[in-house]
Amino acid sequence: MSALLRVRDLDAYYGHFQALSGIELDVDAGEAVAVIGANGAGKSTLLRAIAGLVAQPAGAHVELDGVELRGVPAHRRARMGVSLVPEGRKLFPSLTVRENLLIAASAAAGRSRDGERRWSLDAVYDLFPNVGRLRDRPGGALSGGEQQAVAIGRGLMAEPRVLLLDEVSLGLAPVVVEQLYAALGTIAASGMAMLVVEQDVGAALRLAGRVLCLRAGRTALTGAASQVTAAAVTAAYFGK
Amino acid sequence: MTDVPTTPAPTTAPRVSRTTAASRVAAVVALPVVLLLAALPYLAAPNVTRLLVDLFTLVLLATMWNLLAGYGGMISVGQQGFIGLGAYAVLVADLFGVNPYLGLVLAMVAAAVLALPTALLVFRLHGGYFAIGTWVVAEVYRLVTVEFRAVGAGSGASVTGLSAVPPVLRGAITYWCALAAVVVAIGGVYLLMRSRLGLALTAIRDEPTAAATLGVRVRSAKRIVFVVAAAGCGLAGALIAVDSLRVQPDSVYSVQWSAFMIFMVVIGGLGTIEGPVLGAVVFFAIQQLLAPYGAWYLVVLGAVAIAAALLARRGLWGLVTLHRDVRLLPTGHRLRQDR
Amino acid sequence: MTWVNAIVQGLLLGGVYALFACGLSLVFGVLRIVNLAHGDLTVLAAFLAVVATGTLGVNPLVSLVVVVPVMALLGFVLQRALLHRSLQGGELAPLLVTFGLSIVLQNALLQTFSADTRSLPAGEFGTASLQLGDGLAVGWLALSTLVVAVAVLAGLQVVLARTPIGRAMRATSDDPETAALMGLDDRRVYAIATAIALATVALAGVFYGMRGTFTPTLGPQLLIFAFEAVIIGGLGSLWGTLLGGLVLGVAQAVGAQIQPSYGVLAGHLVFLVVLAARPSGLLRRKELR
Repeated sequence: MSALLRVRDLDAYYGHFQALSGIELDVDAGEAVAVIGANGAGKSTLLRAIAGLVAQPAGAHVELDGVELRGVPAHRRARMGVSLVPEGRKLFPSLTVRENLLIAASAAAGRSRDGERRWSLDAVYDLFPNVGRLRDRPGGALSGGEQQAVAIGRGLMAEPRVLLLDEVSLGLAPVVVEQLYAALGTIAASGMAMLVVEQDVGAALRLAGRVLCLRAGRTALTGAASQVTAAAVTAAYFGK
Repeated sequence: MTDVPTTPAPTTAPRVSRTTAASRVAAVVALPVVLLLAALPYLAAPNVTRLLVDLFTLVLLATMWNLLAGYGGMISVGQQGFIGLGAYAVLVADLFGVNPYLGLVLAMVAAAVLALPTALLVFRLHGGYFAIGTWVVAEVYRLVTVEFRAVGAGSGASVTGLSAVPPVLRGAITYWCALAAVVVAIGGVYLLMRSRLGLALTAIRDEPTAAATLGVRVRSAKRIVFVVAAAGCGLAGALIAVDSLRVQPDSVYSVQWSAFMIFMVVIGGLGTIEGPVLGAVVFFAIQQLLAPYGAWYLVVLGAVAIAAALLARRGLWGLVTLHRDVRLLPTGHRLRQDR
Repeated sequence: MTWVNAIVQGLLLGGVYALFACGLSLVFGVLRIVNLAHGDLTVLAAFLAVVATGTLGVNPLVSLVVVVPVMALLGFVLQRALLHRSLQGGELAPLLVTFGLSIVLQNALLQTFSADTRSLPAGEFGTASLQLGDGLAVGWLALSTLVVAVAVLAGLQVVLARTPIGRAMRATSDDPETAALMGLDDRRVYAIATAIALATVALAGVFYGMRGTFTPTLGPQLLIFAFEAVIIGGLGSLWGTLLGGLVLGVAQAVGAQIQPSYGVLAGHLVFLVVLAARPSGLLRRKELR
């Protein structure tokens, strides 16, 4: 029985610079995994490689439910159920909040997996009440926290099998981060498989069952969140 | 043209050098070549030098368009406006009894002067819209020109001031003017790109916003390039006028000149000094070979330009220098580690 | 009365320019490419109509049934084969590619159809006019061109603002990478936008061909008119494009009324004045951007 998302020997390059080397990772259905590490450790690159935005070299494997994703472009991965909430929210400024959410629904439209839709505009508005109030505002005219809520909602509208979240807390006030992570907890509790890249280690560890710490593109530490000590994290971050 | 060690340092220190082996050879070879070309009217038949005038004009145009697009980042399809102005400057000089060869200088001045207000307008546009904007201005020049009866309105006029000069001498003088123009243009662009302005342009090309915040005066650097390129194109137009002794508005203001310039630079290699020269030679050869096939040769040119833009972004010169550091006219700096 | 007439005819002429311009505006708005072959594609459409009317023996209006789908298909292929690749080559590549395409089209048309002046005979519909008063007559053809232009612009506006594909175009235009994360295939979105643009180009070419004459080398001139309409109206605003087309048409008609050779020049000068005084155009809204 293989994991829902299975990553093996994943390397990634930007030109001649090797950003990731030999990453191995499993995310099971219903499981949340946190990816932590210092700036430039390759956390975002890992998510972008899984989403298909970074070229996947010949020896590397990314599998979704046993299906190899090499050569599958980003838009098809999204339709297959890999949904990335990108760093910096990346809302479409010329679309309203409602349109931003609807645009992602088209990714799920072609998939007749079991015909059932878990996420709808109303479900997103229930999860993030303020998003409902802002539905007719342009995507560019929101605060950072509101944008992040819309971006997460948009990711959900694509009916993901795996939700990838990149730096949810970046640049947001602690109280806003708390609200967002409360919502993410609800999503995780519903059985969504999640891979969460986060600078805010505390927030990430409260959400995730397992943790992967990267340093300079390599796995520095991996284990159950409950068994990872602060000292081990510090050592993995800075290399002793 | 010599190596400039940063300090009289120990032999292991890296040195900053502005030359390459190829450039030192080129510097040695260039002078005899130019001297040989200068002596050509005494050595070769007039029809040879006549062809070379055409070639030199193309080299001049390609060099100017490369200065604009390759170094200044401005794609213009309106340089024919300045070519036309230059040609008409000769015609007007001729009308007032000024020697048409003096008109070459006047043409440069006229094109440069008109380039200033033109820049003021077209610099408000960017990218492709800048391209069409320059084209509109060129059209305005043409439409205004043909309103003047004195220069033959829509049908153009002949340059008469050189009729007293014997044809062989006239051919030779025109040839020397064209040769001088090319040498000054290539040398000028080379020196320009090695100057502070060249450094500024490289910064702008790589990262315009960062360059601006670091105090590079983007607009003024671009304006200088635009004016210099206009002057060069004006000179080319004037050369066309003294060479053919006839100025027709639809021909000198034709957008086809822009097509030729783009073709030469893209085929030769955008953003290098050597590339456009090579491109001009290739284009000239194609033109001579395929001219009998009428418009089909332009179809081929267009298709080759599309292919080059998509497949061989660095042009022929890029293919020649692939994986090799061959620079006949190096504009950058390089670091050397001495053993 | 001659001046009123000039203005009325100018407005009607402006309808054609608006029709030319909306395709240029759409391709720029969605793909961020300025298609320098836009004018030559318009002329190509007119020549396709010449062939269609010649071989099928139908009215040019009926030939639209063939010409519009053919041009739309050409747009789809063009985007897939050339433009999409050029998008990966930085800012210069799309300009070089479309300019190369312009030269190829123009000279291929010249070789195939000769330099002769052509027109599309529109029959009675082309000559009938509506008498509005003393010396003021409005051609049915000219009037219907304006109506078609307004209808096309309104249709495009609705497509962009209200439909899923319009939403996809705006999203892809904003940020192609994030659009891909939402399951949108940018190649397909771009190809559809180009297909729609060339369908409007087909309409523009055929209506222009019925209203006047054309030659294989007219393309650059049409590109310039379309461009002026877009800039006068304001980048990214479809209603601005209509306004820009009308302003350009009136400027040309009034200029030509002063002296025939001043027509085109007057249009250019109005464009330059707008560029100097109001560089963002008369109307600037963020509809396409």
